[in-house]
Amino acid sequence: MSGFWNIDLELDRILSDLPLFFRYSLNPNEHWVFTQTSFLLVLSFFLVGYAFFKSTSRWKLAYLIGFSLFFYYKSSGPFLALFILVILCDFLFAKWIDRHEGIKRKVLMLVSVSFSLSFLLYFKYTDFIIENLNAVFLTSFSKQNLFLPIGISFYTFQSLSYILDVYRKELAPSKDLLSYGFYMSFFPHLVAGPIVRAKDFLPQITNPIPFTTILLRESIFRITVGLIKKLIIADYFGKYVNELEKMPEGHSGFEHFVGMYSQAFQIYFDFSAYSDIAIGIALVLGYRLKENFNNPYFASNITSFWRRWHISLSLWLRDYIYIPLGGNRKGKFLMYVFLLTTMLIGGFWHGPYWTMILWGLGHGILLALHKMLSSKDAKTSLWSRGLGTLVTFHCVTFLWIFFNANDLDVALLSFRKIFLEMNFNEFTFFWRARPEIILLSILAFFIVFIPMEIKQKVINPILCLPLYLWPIILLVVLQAILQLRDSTVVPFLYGGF
Amino acid sequence: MQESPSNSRFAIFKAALIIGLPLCSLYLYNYSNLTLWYNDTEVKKIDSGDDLENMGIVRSEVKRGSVKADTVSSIKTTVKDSIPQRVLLIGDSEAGGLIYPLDDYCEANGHTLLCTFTYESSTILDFAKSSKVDELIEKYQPSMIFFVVGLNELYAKDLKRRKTAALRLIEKFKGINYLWIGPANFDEDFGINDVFNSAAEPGKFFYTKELEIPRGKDGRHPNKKGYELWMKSLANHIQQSNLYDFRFDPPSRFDTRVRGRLLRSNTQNE
Repeated sequence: MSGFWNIDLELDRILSDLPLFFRYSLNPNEHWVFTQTSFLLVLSFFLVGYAFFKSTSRWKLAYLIGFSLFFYYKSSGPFLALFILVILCDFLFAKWIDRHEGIKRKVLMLVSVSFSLSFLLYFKYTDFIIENLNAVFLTSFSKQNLFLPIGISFYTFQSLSYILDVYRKELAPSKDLLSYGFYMSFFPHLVAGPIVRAKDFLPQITNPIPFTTILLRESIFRITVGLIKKLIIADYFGKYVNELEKMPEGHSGFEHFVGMYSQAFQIYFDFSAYSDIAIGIALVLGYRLKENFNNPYFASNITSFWRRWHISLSLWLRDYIYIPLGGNRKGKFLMYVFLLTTMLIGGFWHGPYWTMILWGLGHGILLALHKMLSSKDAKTSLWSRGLGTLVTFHCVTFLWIFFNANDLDVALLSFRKIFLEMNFNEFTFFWRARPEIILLSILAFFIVFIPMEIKQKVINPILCLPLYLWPIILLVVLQAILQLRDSTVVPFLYGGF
Repeated sequence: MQESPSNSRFAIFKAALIIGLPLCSLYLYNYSNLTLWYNDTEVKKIDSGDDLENMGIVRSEVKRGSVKADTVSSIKTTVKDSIPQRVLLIGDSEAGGLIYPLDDYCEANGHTLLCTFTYESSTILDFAKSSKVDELIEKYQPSMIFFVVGLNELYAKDLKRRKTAALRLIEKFKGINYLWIGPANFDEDFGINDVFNSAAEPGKFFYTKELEIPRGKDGRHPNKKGYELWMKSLANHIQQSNLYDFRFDPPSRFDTRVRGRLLRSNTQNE
């Protein structure tokens, strides 16, 4: 058991002696997520205070950093100290890198990158390395069962992009710790992205967006939609997916087939919901985060899919791994190798499992194949685009099986069940037993495959609703969620990466 | 059109009101004694914050994950005249994982796992109101019931309501031996384990939360190995207790066959 975990247990022991109210408000085991009513209530009180600061006031930044760190404490408890350490070290390293040239500059960059990566490697990959060492060399190192600090994968990538941008002279290092601390700790993107670049975000600190009534409508709409997507749609699919995962051999081919689509919808609605809420909250605070999703399942090829899915990660992988490796500058063969390498790293970033590596590899192969077979001059008809969308969606959906499976055996079992034991006659039984999954899937298909222009036509009148109606809408949505939910709030999927 | 800073501040204030007002209403309702109904459906509260101490329940000393499940060695039986048991397994999603090792234990000791009923996403409230448990007891006439629930109510605070439901369920088990298995906590609960322990007859509740069990990738449920280790700990509890007068030695191997009937349902279907 790790030392950090012991600190956590010790803290737990101390907190358990406190009165119930304080235990509840400080308990680090109750991770704060955007969908918790306690978080949303505290956020509204926080906003009342926030409204009193001038938009460019330093005190405003300090107030926001304080809240962000409290938010992180509520998510990861004592690991807040590690997060603060990373922020301090990045800030200092960036200044040192900026002051030096040549080999010294490179060494400082490498030390800083290694330092940031070391925590991610230690907390996330130690057990994976031990497990594989034991399997290959027949050693008997015991697993550490380390707690993974929330958001470490995301803030490590942000830290790396900052250091690398300063090293490449694409960005001047932040002059003051407050600004840099604010960029790293800004709570809307802290736990599960979008991965924000310092060069996009730091300029907003001195020039925040004036929060207008139009933005107010947009932000509240994004928050409300995010809550519905996560707590009603994604969590409902999640229940069925979890059930399949627990007893994969006990379910039929048809149940696995429906489960495959359910996984695809669960992951999309869960993660895009987080991004919606994050963007909505950031807007209220006067900052615009970049969009992380753009109708991804509507993509007509796999390259387009990755330009629409988790956009901030795709761009990060492109700018900090694929292009530095050589991109398309070193010939076609090496380009395919670089694509595979980039997607393998992307897969491994998502989780220390062989299934994740296979998921990344699968996407790498598809991207390479698409590059190999596509031609720039080819004209595409509506039909071929439609067919492309259908094929792309199904390739992505098949690969989610690796992404979601507990282990390789379970993934292979799902494939076997779907491809060899599938019987469409079971539809009637399934419909009788679980009509809601079928109906929800149909609804999800519509939401996912409707073009953005049509969606916008539906959204525009909603955005024009009078402001006084929004508290009522939010109350109805929250009560509907309470009526439908279990006692347990399922954490955001990407919050665990 | 560029808005002035005062307008901007006012808009933030409005945002705070739009988010805060519905939440304040929900919390006010939550802490009030009022319970609203819409047709026959109760308008649910966020939580009702019942405290164990106020309910006269002693908070247990059991620490979550303090015993490594894989260090527990199997205890062999001392029972001489073991009577073959007619076993029923009932529970939430975790029952779905316990079926396989339980079935292996039953087969190895001459008992019969007649039927497993997994009620997905369920809580004690669902079991208390469902007539399915009565039907199964009536149909299979079991001599031993394994019952596992609690994973979906770790954060439940309406503990009084759940204690009443637990007592109602135990009424259904009258005259039948049972082992009430607490949930494999992935997180600290707000007292549901202690509520179940106080409702069950002394010695018939098993605190699973004490065990450190390997988890599946979803982080909430044990993995296959975890379920086997969990079952081993349950078997040890049975062997050590004088409440269960039958043999429950470990099987020579675990497999994934299930011999008894398997019934599945989901709270969302109803």
